Amino acid sequence: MKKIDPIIILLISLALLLFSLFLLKQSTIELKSQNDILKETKILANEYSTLKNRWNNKKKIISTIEKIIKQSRLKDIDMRTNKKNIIIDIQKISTRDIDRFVNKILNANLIILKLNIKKDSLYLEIGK
Amino acid sequence: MNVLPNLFEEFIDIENLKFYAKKIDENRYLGFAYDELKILDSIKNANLNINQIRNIHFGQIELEYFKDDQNSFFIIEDQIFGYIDDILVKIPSSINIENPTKIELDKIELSKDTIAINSSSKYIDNKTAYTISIIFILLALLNFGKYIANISVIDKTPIQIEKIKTDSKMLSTSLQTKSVIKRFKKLYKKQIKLRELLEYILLYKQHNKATLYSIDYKNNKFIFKFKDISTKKIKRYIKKKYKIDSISQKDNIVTIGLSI
Repeated sequence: MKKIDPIIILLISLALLLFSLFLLKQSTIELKSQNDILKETKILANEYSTLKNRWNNKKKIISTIEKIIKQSRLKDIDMRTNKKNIIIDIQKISTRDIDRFVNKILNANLIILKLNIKKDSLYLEIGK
Repeated sequence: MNVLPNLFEEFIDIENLKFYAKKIDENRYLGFAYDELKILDSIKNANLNINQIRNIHFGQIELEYFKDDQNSFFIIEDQIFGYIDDILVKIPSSINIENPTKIELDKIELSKDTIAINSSSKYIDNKTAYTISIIFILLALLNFGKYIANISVIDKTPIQIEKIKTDSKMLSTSLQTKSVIKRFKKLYKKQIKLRELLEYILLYKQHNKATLYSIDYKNNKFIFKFKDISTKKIKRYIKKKYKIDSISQKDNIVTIGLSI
C-alpha cells in the first residue's frame, strides 16, 4: 500500500480548515444580514401597529367619539359617517358645552380635518 | 531518549542526527543515531520512492535472530555482514569469510522497531505534521458545525419575518410600510401642532378675557375671529410663536389667518 505523505495530509487538512472558515464567514455575514432584517421588521411592525392603532383604528375612533358624545349629555347631535370621515354637527349649543366638548375631542387621538366653532354651533370632521 | 544525544556527543558530531533506543534487557538499552538525509539518499540511489517504503528497520536488530555461536557472518545480496563485539558491521569484500549464512531479505520476519523518515520537510517532522493535521481537521469540523447551525437559523428567519408581518397586519413590503409610517408620523405631528396652536390662542382668550367670535379650520389653515380686542396686542402675542398669514380688522372684528 502506498503511504500518503504527512505533508500532503497536512495541506489537505489546511485546505479543509480554510474552506470551513470561508463557509463559516459567508454564513455569519448572511446570518447578520438576516438578523438585521428581522430586527428592522420587529421595529417596523411595532411602530406600524402602534401608530395604526392610535390614529387609524376605525372601531376605536367611532367608539371614542360615541363615548365623548354620551358623556357630554348633549342632545340634537347630528353624527354621520361616510367612507373617510365622521361628521359631527351640533346646533344650538352653549359656549360652555362647546368648550367641554372640543376639549374632550382635542384630548383624544382623533384626526381633526375640519373644525368650525361659532357662538352657538359646532361642526367637526374627523378622519377615520 | 533524551539522554541519547548526550551519550553520542562524546564520540560523534550529532548535528542533524536523530536517535532511537531499543530496550534489550532490564536497565539495558541499545541506542541508534541515524542521519535521515543519508537514508533518503540511499533510497534515492536505489531508485526507490520514499512513498513506496512502509517502514525502515535497523539491520542490527533484524539480523540478530540469525546470529549463533558458530557463525556470526551473513551474506545478503553479495554483501557480507557480521557481528563483531555484538555490533553489526559491513565486511569489506577483500576479507574472505568462510561459509557465511545466506539470508534472503524477503524471508525475514521483521520486528516492530521501526523509524519514520521525514522526507517532505526539514522544518516539520511527521508526528508534528499529523498532530497539526488532526488539530486542523477538528477545527474544520467545529466550523462546519457552526456553519450548519447558522444555516438552520438563516432558513428559519424568513418564516419568522412573515409571521411578524402577518401578526401586525403589516403591508406586503417594508417600503410600503415605511411609507405608511411616515404618513402617520406626519399626520400625528400636524395634529399635535393643531392642538398646540389652538391652546396658545385659547390661552390669550382666557388671560385677556377676549371674545372669540369664531374658529374655522380646514386644509391646515386656521381663521380666528376675535371681537373687541387690540389688533396690535394679539399680533404681538401670536408673532412670538407663530407666523401670521393674514390679519385684518373690520368694524370691531379682528380676523387672523394662521397655518400649521
